[in-house]
Amino acid sequence: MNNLNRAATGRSTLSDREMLYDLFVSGKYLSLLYDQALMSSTNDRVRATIEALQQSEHQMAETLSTMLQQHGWHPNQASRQPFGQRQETSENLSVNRSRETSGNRCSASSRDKIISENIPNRRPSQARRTQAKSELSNLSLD
Amino acid sequence: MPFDNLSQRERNCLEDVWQMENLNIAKFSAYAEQCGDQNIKLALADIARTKRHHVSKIKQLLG
Repeated sequence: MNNLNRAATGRSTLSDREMLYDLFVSGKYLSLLYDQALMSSTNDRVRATIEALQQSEHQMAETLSTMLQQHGWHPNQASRQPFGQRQETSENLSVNRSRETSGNRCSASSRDKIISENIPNRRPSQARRTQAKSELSNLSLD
Repeated sequence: MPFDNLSQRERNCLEDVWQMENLNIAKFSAYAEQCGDQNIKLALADIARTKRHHVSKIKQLLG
């Protein structure tokens, strides 16, 4: 229904954010095309013109990127924090993660016990087999 | 000033750029009209004007 409305009115219903992001991505593609043209150019004057246009294209991309950031719409905004802040955040994350996982950890013996209770015919682990062998050898020595 | 001695490869690349720039002009102009934010609207219209200048430069190279 939404598409029908769009077709009937002939107008896009993109939000400001979607429009800016579309232009930002189009600019990236255009920059690649300029690079291709630059690399395939053999004439100095043509190359100089393309370089100037490419530089102008970069300035436009920067303008769009700044606008996206100002509105909090830039897709990479979270990873563009100052370095110290990012480090602190990653440290906090790792501490929290280790706290979370330590509560869920179980020892190898209790894990084997749980597995053997639920899977009776399962082959015992290497550690258990080694332990059993040593116990047997101790018995035979006695 | 047009360059008659452009290789076919150079010409193809410049034509690709020219087409993409034209598409971008159409997008920037349409979005500038539809945009709700006044600052974004002005910025997009300004970029569209600059892109028209780019297109004329490329057209000069292609001849």
